[in-house]
Amino acid sequence: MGTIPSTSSLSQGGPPRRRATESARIAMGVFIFTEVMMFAGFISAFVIVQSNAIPGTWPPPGQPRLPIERTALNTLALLTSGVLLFIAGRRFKRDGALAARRWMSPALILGGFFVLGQGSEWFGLIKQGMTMTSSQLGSFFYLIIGMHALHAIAAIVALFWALSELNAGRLTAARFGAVQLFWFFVVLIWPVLYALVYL
Amino acid sequence: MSRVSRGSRPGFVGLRTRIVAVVLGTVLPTMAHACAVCFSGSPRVRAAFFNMTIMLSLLPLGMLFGGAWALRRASRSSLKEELIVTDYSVAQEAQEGQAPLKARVAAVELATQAVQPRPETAKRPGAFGPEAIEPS
Repeated sequence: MGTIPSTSSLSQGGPPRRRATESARIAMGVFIFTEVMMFAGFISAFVIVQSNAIPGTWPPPGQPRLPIERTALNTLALLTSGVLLFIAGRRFKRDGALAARRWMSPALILGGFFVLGQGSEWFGLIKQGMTMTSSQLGSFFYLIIGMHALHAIAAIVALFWALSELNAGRLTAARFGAVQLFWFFVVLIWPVLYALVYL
Repeated sequence: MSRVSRGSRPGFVGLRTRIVAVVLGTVLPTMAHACAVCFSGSPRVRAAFFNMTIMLSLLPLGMLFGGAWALRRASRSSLKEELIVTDYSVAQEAQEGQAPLKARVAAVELATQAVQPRPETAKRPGAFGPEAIEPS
């Protein structure tokens, strides 16, 4: 007693029903939907503030220039980690959980490289006088890029957890799919932010 | 008998006030200014507002349709697997062109596979699901 009946046992009299997709993925999809809308709001505000600036005054004078080249390298690392995790997902489906491990670890390392690279970049910018209150660019930079960095850190924690579960032989396809989806969100939204804020 | 003043009730605008407002509004016209903070005469700013309005309007719709499409795709893929494993006879009908859309998915799969005779199976009474099927 006290157990929740499964979908199969509820559908007595008919064939067992198969789920279209796992609940973990749907939940992650709903979460990502809200996150995309949040970033869309930030982007919208940023674009309007940027367009309001007098031509030639954006980025604001007296503020340090954003390190485009260095961030391009970080971007490349992040995109590569996304590709590696995609391959890990395919191997997971085809050959099982253990086959995905050798692709997940480099993805995790590259994700860490991205976050550390962004962190060191921030230290440099703060040293040069760019803070949240120094200009509108500073406010938006730390808000938008900082929010993305928070997501990247959360996704790395999730990836690390998935990898430890995989090593323990407990990682299910549904959980792996949810973590993969979250990482793809972090990877795919970054080029948009990079193009808008940095370039 | 006490008289309640209607004009003193909160949210109620008396008829006389309304008439005065209409008369003043008609005889003393003036230019109405849009909010200076969130609007501008500059075409660049107006274009930015316009583009962002389009983005914020279409993005949620696009994501909803994208999610529905992904679910449909996953559902069809799941159905295909289910038909291959459990509804073999329906799939055979589909191959012969007698079954509806549901089974045509399985027919595609069958077309690429050699048709192997399925072992005779029997269901335990009162049991459901693939685990309930045991070889007779």
